[in-house]
Amino acid sequence: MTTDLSRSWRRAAQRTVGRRRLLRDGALLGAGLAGAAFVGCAPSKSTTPQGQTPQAGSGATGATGESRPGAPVVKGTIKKGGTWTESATATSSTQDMHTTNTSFWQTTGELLMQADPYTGAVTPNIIEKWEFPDPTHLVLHVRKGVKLHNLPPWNGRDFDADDVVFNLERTVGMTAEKEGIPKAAFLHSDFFAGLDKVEAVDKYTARITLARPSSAFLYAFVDHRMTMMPKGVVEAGFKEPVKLAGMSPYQLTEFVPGVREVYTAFKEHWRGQPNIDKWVRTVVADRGADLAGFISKQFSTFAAGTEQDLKTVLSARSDALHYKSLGISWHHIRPNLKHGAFSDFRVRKAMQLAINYQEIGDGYYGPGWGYLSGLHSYFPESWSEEKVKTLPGYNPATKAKDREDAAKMMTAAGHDKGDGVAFELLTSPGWSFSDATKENALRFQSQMQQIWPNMKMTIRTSADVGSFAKAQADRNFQAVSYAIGSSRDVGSDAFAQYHTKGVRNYGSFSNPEADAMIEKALATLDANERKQIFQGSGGFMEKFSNEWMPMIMLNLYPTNTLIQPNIQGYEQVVGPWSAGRISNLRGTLGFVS
Amino acid sequence: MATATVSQQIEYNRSAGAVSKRLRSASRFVRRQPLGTFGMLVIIVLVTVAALANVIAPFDPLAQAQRSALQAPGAEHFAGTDQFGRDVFSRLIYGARVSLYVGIGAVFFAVIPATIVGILSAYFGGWFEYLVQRLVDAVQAIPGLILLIVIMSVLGVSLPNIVIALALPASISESRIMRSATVSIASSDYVDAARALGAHDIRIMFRHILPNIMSTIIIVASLGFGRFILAESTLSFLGYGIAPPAPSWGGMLAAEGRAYMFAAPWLLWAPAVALSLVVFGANMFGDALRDELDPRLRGSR
Repeated sequence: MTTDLSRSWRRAAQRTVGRRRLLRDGALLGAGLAGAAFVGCAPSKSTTPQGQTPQAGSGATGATGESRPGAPVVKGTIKKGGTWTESATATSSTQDMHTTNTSFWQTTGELLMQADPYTGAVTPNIIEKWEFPDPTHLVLHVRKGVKLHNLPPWNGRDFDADDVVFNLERTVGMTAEKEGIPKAAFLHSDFFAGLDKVEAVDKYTARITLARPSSAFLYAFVDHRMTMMPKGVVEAGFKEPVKLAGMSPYQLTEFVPGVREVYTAFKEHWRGQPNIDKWVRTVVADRGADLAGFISKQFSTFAAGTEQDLKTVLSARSDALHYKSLGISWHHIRPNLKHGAFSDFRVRKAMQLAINYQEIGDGYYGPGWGYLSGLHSYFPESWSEEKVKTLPGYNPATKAKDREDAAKMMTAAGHDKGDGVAFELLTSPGWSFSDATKENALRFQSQMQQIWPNMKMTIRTSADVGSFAKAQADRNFQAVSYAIGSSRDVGSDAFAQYHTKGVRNYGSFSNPEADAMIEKALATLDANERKQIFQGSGGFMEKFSNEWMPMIMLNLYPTNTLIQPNIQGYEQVVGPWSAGRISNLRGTLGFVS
Repeated sequence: MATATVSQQIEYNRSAGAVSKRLRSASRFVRRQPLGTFGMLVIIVLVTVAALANVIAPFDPLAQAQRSALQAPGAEHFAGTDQFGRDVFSRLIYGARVSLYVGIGAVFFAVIPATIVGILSAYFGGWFEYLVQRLVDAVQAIPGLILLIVIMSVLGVSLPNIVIALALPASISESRIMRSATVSIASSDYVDAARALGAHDIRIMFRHILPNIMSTIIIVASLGFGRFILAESTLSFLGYGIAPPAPSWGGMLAAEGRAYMFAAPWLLWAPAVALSLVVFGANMFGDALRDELDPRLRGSR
């Protein structure tokens, strides 16, 4: 059974909610939920996790009248115990959360705050409450009783304000000189842009001083790359992950590089012991092995990358629970604006007009993908999918005329039939979404050459993932076909992708007007005013589409998660806030009898 | 006039005899080597298909038609269509060009240098032979696939570079085979006699040694042909092959076949069968040639 949540989410996303009110209400809601979850997860209580409504029907999810869309649903009674098994492309190769995107800490660490996956509101987690005494100060209150895993030298002590200070200071690279690591190595320093000082007021209170007011600052805490490590990990070194203590419901107990990671339930977790005892992540060779592993019940879950994969699994395992939603990431073609004809807006715009988005989206994913332009369409400040779908280029009904206009525009730019437009389109190797980026490249190439036969486009796949990342980071490419995930806040995302100083502005787009708009949005605390900067007449979204077009977004891609039918309590999430919100880590998943 | 008629008759008889002799040899080859004959036919078919690809292929191998995507083999599309709606049979036919190009190109650039180095090494001996053979040892100590990937990473992905990447290590390794074949001939009496008559080294190598190791060269080339086609497929499968959307059998296996092996298994079958058949055919043909041309094996038949 399939539940498509995009419609319900859109309704939620289109509501106008003041940011301050959102934060305040979010805090209250989060505190309430956390408290309820705390009670619900207590071992002496019912085995049905809090917030879950038992519902008839295999894989049924969604609104039940009482719970919000996507809330975990349980059919049957969850019992304690069992092993959750899943595939991985590799074991975690590095363990330093601040200088890499390691999956290890995303499993064994926890976030200071969580984003509600349906409103984007920031809700408590390790930080149980916070306040802004003034626009440039933020006081964080650390929850008491958040135990670290019982490993020396931490020995199960409480996570405290000193740990918060350590994480924030190190994330922005304040310790770079002392550690002898280049400041540029701290990959996530942009998340806390504007952080001036962080100090521990007492054991459970930390105080942050900002250089300037920031409407995006709080959202950095909910990014899945911001999971916490305890103070002392640098001294302990990052070489032996089983010796590193986190604070999540699961502790790494076995690590075989390149083979598997085994996590065991942490009984002292502040939300109570999770339902499932073990979580095993096994490395598999490719998508076929992953698929076969799910069909044969060796894996508890399978992320179907394509419509064909989905059909294959469901034809063999019609009892599998199927959850479908649009997530954080979007496919795109990113031209390097310093390369040849790409410096001309008309060339980029002509390509955007000429693309058959439906063919690209349906071709790989089948139905269920989403439209976007410029920024993730689930941000309240961005253009919605419905709006994007009516725009020239995206609108299937006007495709023929849009292509005529595209041809004229390209001719006006001096490239009749694509003469003089030559570039290499780079893709990343690997499986999962990488197959989609390659197929997108081939469809894009075919579509462009139908209109501009003299356009010279070659497709190349990088030798390895590292080479691709380096080519992007060094801006040493002509164009890429890739997928990327949004930040949790529209201002942060716009800064990263389109500001002259943005770390993910790989295409070297630089426009003073865009920079000014983004900076203004980041400094504006009023939600409506902020929305105007993006959506208003002559605002960021319009300029992006009609004057800038630094990147061509192809689609928001759907995630199809399949789970074995005897495992219930999956929490369905959508949009930019979906990443890192793993049901297992929230203790909602469990085997039913 | 009469003289001319007689000499013409002699010439005619001689050429007729030669044709007849060749026909008999061919007939003997077919009779003695049925698998080798099959292999030869496969190679002939491959060459024909590659040469006439634009005539034989029913569709443009690059033309996408999303509405026809992933159609099973049928009357319109003999080998089905891929996820882009491209005709698999047409891609298979055009893919034969890549295989042939790589097979012939790599054989050419591997066997010629290997022969030259092998003959020089065996003929001159001494420090030159020592250096060459240590180089061969060094190259053979590196795992073949790793070496290929390193070369491709350095050179970049293109069809000529694939040929170079395959031919370079092969030319070094195969020079040892050529050297072995040369060693016994270089010390034979007729070579000594030629040297005593004042023949230059180059003349000895070209006129007396080269023709006598020709059977070895042919065998190495025919066996290498299949091996290089397979290696190209391996490179394509690993992403170091010919750039998409150009069709190659290895690329079809990797990009289309693997991704859709459950939903559309014909994407895997078509290139896999073609590849297996050609490599099998080339190997059988090479084995048969060795049996026919190597005098040491004649008695063992």
